Formats: sequence, structure tokens, C-alpha cells
Amino acid sequence: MKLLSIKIQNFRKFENFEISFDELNIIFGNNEAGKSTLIDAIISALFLDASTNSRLFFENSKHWTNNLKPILKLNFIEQEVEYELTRDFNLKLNQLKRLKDNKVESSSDLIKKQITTWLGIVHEDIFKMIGVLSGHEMAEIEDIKKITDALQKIITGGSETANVSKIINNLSKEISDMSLGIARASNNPGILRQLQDKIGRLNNELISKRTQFSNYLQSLKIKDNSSIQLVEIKKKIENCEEIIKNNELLEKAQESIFEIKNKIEQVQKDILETSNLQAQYLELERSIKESEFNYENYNVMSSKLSNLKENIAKIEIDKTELERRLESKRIYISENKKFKSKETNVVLITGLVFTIIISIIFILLKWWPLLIGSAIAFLILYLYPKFTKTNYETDEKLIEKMEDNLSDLKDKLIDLKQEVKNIFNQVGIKEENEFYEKKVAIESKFENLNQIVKYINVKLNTNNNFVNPQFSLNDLENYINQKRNEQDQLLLKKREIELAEVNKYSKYKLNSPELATKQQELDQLYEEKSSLEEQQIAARTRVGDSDIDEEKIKLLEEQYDLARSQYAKYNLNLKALTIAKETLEQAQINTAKSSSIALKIEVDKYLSEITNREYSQISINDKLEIQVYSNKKQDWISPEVLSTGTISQVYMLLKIAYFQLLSNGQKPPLFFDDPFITFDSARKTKAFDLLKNLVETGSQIILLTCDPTLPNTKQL
Amino acid sequence: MKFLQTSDIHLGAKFSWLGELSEKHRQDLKASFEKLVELAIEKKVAFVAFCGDIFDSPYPSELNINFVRDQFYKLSDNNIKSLVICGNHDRLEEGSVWTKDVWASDKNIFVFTEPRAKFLSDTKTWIYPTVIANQKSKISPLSNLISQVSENKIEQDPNFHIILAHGSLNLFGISDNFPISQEDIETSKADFVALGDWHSTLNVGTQIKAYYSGSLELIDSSQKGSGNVLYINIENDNYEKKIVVEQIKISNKTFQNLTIDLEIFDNVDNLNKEISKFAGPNNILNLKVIGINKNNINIEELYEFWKSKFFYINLIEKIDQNQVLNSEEIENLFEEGTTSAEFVKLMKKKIQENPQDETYYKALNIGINLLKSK
Repeated sequence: MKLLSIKIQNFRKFENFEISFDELNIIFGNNEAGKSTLIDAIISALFLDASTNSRLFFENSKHWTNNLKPILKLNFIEQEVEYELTRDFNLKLNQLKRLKDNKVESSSDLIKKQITTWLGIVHEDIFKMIGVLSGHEMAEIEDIKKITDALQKIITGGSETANVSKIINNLSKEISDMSLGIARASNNPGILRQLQDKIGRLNNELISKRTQFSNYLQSLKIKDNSSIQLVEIKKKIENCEEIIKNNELLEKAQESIFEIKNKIEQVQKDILETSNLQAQYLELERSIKESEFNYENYNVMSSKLSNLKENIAKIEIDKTELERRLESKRIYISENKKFKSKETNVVLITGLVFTIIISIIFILLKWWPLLIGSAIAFLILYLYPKFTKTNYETDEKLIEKMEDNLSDLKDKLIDLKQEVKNIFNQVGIKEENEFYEKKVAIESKFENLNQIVKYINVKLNTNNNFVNPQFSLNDLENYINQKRNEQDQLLLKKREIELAEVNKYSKYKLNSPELATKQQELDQLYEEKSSLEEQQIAARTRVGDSDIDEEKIKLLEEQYDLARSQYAKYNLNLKALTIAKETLEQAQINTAKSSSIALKIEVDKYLSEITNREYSQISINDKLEIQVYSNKKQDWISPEVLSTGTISQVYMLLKIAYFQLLSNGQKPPLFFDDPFITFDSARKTKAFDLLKNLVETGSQIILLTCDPTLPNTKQL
Repeated sequence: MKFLQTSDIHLGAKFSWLGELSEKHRQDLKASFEKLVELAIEKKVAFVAFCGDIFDSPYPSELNINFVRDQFYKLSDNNIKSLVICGNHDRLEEGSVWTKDVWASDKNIFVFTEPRAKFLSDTKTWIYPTVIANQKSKISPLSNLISQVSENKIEQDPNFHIILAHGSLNLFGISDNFPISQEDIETSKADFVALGDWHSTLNVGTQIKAYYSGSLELIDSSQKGSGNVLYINIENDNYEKKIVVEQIKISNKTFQNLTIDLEIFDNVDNLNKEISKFAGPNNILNLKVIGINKNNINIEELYEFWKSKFFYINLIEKIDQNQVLNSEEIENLFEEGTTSAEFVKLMKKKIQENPQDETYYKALNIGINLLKSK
């Protein structure tokens, strides 16, 4: 494809610009004249669909002043036929017009297909990357390593930044990070190992929980089964126990009957005893009541008698005393009658004499008061006998009185004695002795009665005394009745037991060997029961202790599923990364292999010429590492010794060679954007020669430069 | 007489398909249960019929048992009965959840452990419960209930006859677990057949009213008809039973599938526009990404961006073999003669050799991404 001209409207600095092209175009333009813009416009015209919405493109292509979208019109010749390619970004119009017959193609896809076939390059970015060689790019290639890098990048053919070796390195790192700790232990395991561990952990936990759960269900079953068995055994035990118990009950009933019989005997004996006591008592009571000398009479008479006797005794004493006093009084009086008259006369005469003497003395002495006194004394003396005569008369009277009293007493005594006699008559006795005999007899009866009451009290366990025997007797009556009731009840109970229990349990009657067998059977059943219960308790404990439920397992399964799916995802990723990495390595080797020879041939064609015969050939290995053969040294030289200029030259050759290689002999136009800025004049000349050579072999060169020393043909 | 019908709550189920969101979903499930209880109280229903599989297992956790008990108590406090039949998941077996004493503690909780009709005098309703004691069975759970309906039914019947059944309707003769035939339902003479086992709401009766309520929440992915409860109003109009069934949404979760063909969506903006149509905090998106990622769209980044705008996104990256092998695009991804083009060529060959192994598709995508990355 040979470009003829381009008309650029509204594209960055160009509002309306047109330029035509030859085979070799050296286009001069100062900085900011639009050199790169021109290249971009051409490439956009070749590759870009005018209906694009790419914001990036519009940002980049925006005209500096107006707001219109670009219109690009590119004329070119392909196989000697002229075409006009129009890209109107305002109208979103693509048009490829064959000028000889004005045949128009406006399908973007078909146009693209056509153009890329003619260019031999399908991708815009590849075209930009390889078909354009810029001075800046060359300046960056300072050493041979950079060439390899750049070459790798170019040959990778992905995005502008894609470098397959770097991609492979990154992939290797990612793969190794991910699989860290898988082959051998690592302190910082990768995600896969982490997930493997997690899955293992979860799996163990799951197994343990499932086992636990299945044990739980098993335990539930055991619990259930043992419950059923236990019910059966319990029934058997109940039967066995019933037989034994009934046998025991029968024995007990027989024992009870025996006991009751004893009790009845006891009660009967008791009744007999108490009845006897009662009879005795009644007999005694009757005999006491029948005798005249009953208890009450005895008491009244006894006290009366003793009072009478006491009175009699007292009166006797009084009578005796009175008699004695009477006698002495009489004697006293008879004696005093004689003596008293003589005595009074002597005293009176003596007194009179004495008084007269004293009175004469006192008269003589004229002691009047004393005279009066003596007169009084005399008077007294004279009067005394008169008094004594009076006393005597009183005594007489006293005696009379005493005699009366005595006679009274004697009467009283006679009365009392009559009374005693009356009492005796009453009781029917004549002598006092008889009374006492009777008294003793009745007292003995009372004694007996009291004894019987005592017996009764002991029997009744009461404290009644003889004073109120009736009470005890009532109690006794009650007691006997009670005992009789007791007897009746005991008889009834005996009958009941005989009817209810003995008859009921008589069929369970076991003899000793039978009982032993039953007992043995029961013991065995107990053993079985306790073993089953133990089993059940163990199962129940397992069930109770088990905090497991199926949900826990499900949640664990869920975690397990999640971990597994994560693992599967990462593992798939790892595998995919590994495959991608290996395939990229393979692809790198394949492309390097297939391109390195072609590149070498192409580069070798011009290397000697461009390096002034200093180096004659290059070698490129699978990793696109480059060596250069030095003519001077007659050997492959270490790349480090190459000068920057030479390196740039080698790079330029490699890039051009690869571009031609990619375009499959289609020879698309090659663009140079101030490529030689780093070259000295000799190298510039050599490079310029190279371009001429390329033109001769059929390539179109469009070189834009701000270097005025280059022989320019056009100006921007 | 009004009642609610629900089933297949599956408390304690694992939701592996929801990845790390499973726990959240379990909580949501409980919240939906609570919502159901609130609804029952609001609607003043006579009872709530739980048609099996309240629990996902016969041996659920104490926590979930207590939760359900508390919900039943709440219903009971409002004088609403809980009628419970067991399902094939929470089946009746030795030591299983429905054999526990906890349910016997309230007069308004009825756990049916025998397939025997029970008469609820206050609502004049005969309940015919199925009892499931095994995980799998080929016998119709209705087998010994239908005759009981006939026995109890009288002319000018003032009573309602409601069958509560857990089983799979044998629509095409393919149901192999607790199959319930359409004929069983139609000949049952019941006024209403409340069914459980299927997770989507479905009217399956023709002459006889028979409904699956479906589960309260998504239990498995892609059960689009789940999330409802049925509100049934049954009236005796001159011995003619009038039944109105209303479907009430309980869960607001939706499940949707979206397939993104990277060949079609060539830039992230368009792709985001498409995904945003499905976004929502209660939405579950099964996002299938197919095609060669030639435009180097970062799927991981995309996923991270959208993750928070959905309840859950299940991302599946899948490349079709034909897409790889027959695509011209893939041929033209890279310039012929470059390592990148060689890589694609080699990968294509490997995919041809291992067409079933998705690792190779993934490797291809990884390589393309890396080679295209900027």
C-alpha cells in the first residue's frame, strides 16, 4: 500500500490540512508543528471506525479551537488501483471508494478487513507500536538488555505494555504464592494450602460430628429398644413379685389370724376377769347395802357415839369437880362460922383502944389531920366485920347453885347414856363391843371393796377411789363392753381375713423349694433389668450429653461446601494460571524461534553497512537475547561493550525487520518520528542510506523531523 | 372462617448456593416466619396450617425449636391455632423434633402425629392431616385420609373439610416421593386441600380447591414462585362452600438469571447498564459471563462493584467451546506472528484436545487479559 495524500479536518491542531506523499517523504516541521498528529491521523484513518464512541479517541483528537469532530480522507494506491478512504467522525461515516469506478464500500467491518489485508497488519496498536519508530523510543534503548525488553514487548504483540517475559514472571510469582505450602510446609502458606487446611479441618470436624450424630441416633434407638425390653422385663418382675408377695401375704394373713386368735383369747380372758371383778364388787356392794349397819349409819353413829361419849366424859369430870368443890365449900363455911365472930371482936376492941390513944395524942398535939385520919382508920376497923358477914352469905348461895348444877349434870348424863342406849337399840345391839365387832366386819367389807376397786383401777388404768366406786363401776361396764366389741371386731377381722385374704391368696401358696425357685427367677430378672437400665442410662446420657443436632452438621457442611468451592475456584485458577503460563512460555519460544531467524536474516542484511562494517551479524536466542558478531574481534562480543549508537542502530534494524515480518511482505508504510536525534552525523547518513534502501525494496517511508540537516522534501 | 397456609420453611437449611450470604439468608428466613405470624394476627385468622418441613431436619437445633415454639405461642396468645403436619425433611421419627414435649404445652398447638381426622369445634372444621415418617416413600400420603372425609361428610354439611398434606403432585406420573395424584385430590370431597413440599406457589386443583403455598423464602436458587403465603377465606353459603384464596407476598427476595456475553458487551459502561436493571438489595442474581474477554473487562472488579448492590451475585464464568473454536474474533485478537497470537493458537489447540476442561478456557481468558492489559 502506498499512501498518496491525506486531508485532515478538525484533528488536533489541523483544522483543514492536506498533504501528499511520495515513496520517501522527509517532512520537516518544528516542534508543535504536528508531526505526531499527522502520523496519528493517518493511522486513525487506516484503522478507526468512524462510528466509534471511544472517548479516548475524541479526547485525543479534539481540535484545538473548534468543537467539530474529525474528518479524515486518505488516498492510496493498492496494486495500482487508487482508493479514497474517508472517515467522517461527525457523520460516523466510513467510506472506501475505488476511484476508477467510484465503487463505494461503507461497511466498517469490510473496510477494516480490506485495509488490514492490504497493510498486512490487523491491529492499530501493533501498527503504532512497530510501524512507528520514534527518536524518543530510540533514546530509551541504552543497552542491549533494553533491546531484548523492547523486542519482547514488540514480539509479544499484545497491548502496548505487554511483555510476555514479564507476564510469565508475574504468573510464576502468582502461581508460587498461591501454591506456597503445598509441596512443603511454609510459615506463610498460600491461599490453596490455607483452604486445604481449612477443608481438612472442616472435614475432620464433619466426620466427628457425623459420627457423634449417628451415635446419637443409635443411642436414641438403644434407648427405645431398651425401653421396650425394659417394659417386658418389668412386667415379668411384676408377675414374679406378685406371686411372691401374694405368698407372703397369705403367710402374713395366716399370721394375722393367729395373732387375732391370741388377741381374742386375751380379750376373752380379760372379759372373764373383769366380769368376775364386777360380780365380786356387786356382791360386796349388795351385802354392804343389805346390812343395817351400812356405811353411812356407821359413820353417823360412830361420830354421834364418840360425841356422846366425849360429852359424858366431860360432864363426869365437871360433876366430879363440882362435887369436890361443893364439899370443900361446905367444910370451909362450917369452919369459918365459929371463928369469925371471935376474931372480929378482938380486932374491934384493939382498934378502939389504939384509936382512942392515938386520938388523945393527936388532940393533945393538936394534930387534927392525923386525928381525922385515925378516926377514919377506926371506922374502917369497925366496919370490917360487917363485910365479912356479907361474904359468908354469898358462899351459901353459891353452894346452892352448885348443887343445882350438879343435879343438872347428873340429869344430862342420864340423858346421854339413854341416847347411847337408843343408838345401840337402833343398830340392834346391846353392847358397845358388839358395835365395834360390826364395825370391823363392815370395814373389812369396805377394804375388800376397795381392793376390788383397786384391781378395777389397775385394769382400767384409772385412778378412781373408793369414795366414788360408781364411777369405776361404770368404767368397768364400759371396759367390758369395749372388750366385748373388741372381741366381736377381732372375730369379724379374723373372718374377714379368712374370707378376703386367705381364700384369695391360697392359690399362691408356695412351698419352700417353689419359693426359692421364684426368688431365684426374680433375682435374675432384677439383674437383667438393672443391666438394661444401665444401658438405657448410658444411651440417655449420650443422648442428653450430645449437643449435636443435624443443623450443626448442615452448617458445617455448608462451610465445607464453601471452602471446597473456594478451593475449587482457586485450584482452577491455579491450574489455569499454570496452563496460561506454560502456554505463554511455549508461545514465546515458538515466536522467538520462528521470528529470530527471519529477524537475523533481515538485520544481517543491513548491519554491516549501517555499522560501517564493524559488526557483521547478530544472533537471537529463544528468549530474544541478542549477541553481535564483531568483525574486528572475529567473535561474538559481550553486548555490554556495544556503544549506545550501535545499540540504537541494532534496535532500529530489528524493529523494521519485525514490522516487515509481521506484514507478510505487504510492505505497509513505515513511519519515523524524528528517529535520529541520538545519532551522530555519520550514523545519520548511514541510517538515511538504510531508508533509501528500504524504499528501493518497495517500502514507503514517511519521516517527520525537526532536523533541518536532513534533506527534506516537504514541510508541515 | 379464615386461615393462612404455608409450608417448607426449612429452618436450619444450608444455603451453600448463597456462599457467605447463607447466614444472612437464614436470618431472613426467620424474619419471614415472624412476618407470617404478624400477618396471621393482623388478619385475625382461626389458624395457620403448616404443611410440612418447618424444619430442614428431624433433629433441628434447640435455638430453632425455641424460635418456632415462641412463634406458636405468639399465635396462641392471639387465639390462633398452629396446625402442624410434618414433612419429609422434619419427618416424624424416634426422637425427632415433633415428638418433643414442647409442643404439648399449649392448647392451640396441634402437631399431627397420626393420620386421623380432627374436628375443631370452634371453627366447625374437620382437619385431615398427612403424617410422614420417612424421607422417601412411593405411597400417596393421602391414601388413608380420603375415606375419612367421606365418612365425616354429611348432606347439607355445616362443617368445613380441609386436608393438610405434604407430598409431590404427580402431574406427569414422574413424582417418586410421596406422590399425590390429581385424582386423589379431585375425588377427596374435601373443601380445600392445603399442600406442602413444592417451594413455589401453585394452584393445582380443578374441581376441588388445592394449593401449594410454596416456601416463605428461596430455599434453592431459581425457585421463582416462592416467598408467598396463602390467605384462605372459606364461607358456608347455604351449605355451599365459597372459597377465596389470596396469595400474599412475604419475602421480597427475587432470583434472576443474567447472561453476559463479553463478545456483545464490549465495554464496561454497557455492561453496567445491563446489570443495573437487575440490581436491588433483595435481589439474587445468577450472573453468567460467557465469551472471550477480548476487551479486557475486569470481571473481578465488576463483581466487587456490584456485589454490594445485590443481596447476592452468583458469578459463573463460562466460555463455550464453540465460541472459542469458531470465533473469528479470537483469531484476530492479536497480530499474526506475535507471541500473543501464538498463545491463542496454542490455547485453541489445547482446548480442542480438552474440550470439557474449563481450566483451558480460563487459562485462555487469563492469557488474553494479561496480554491485553494496559
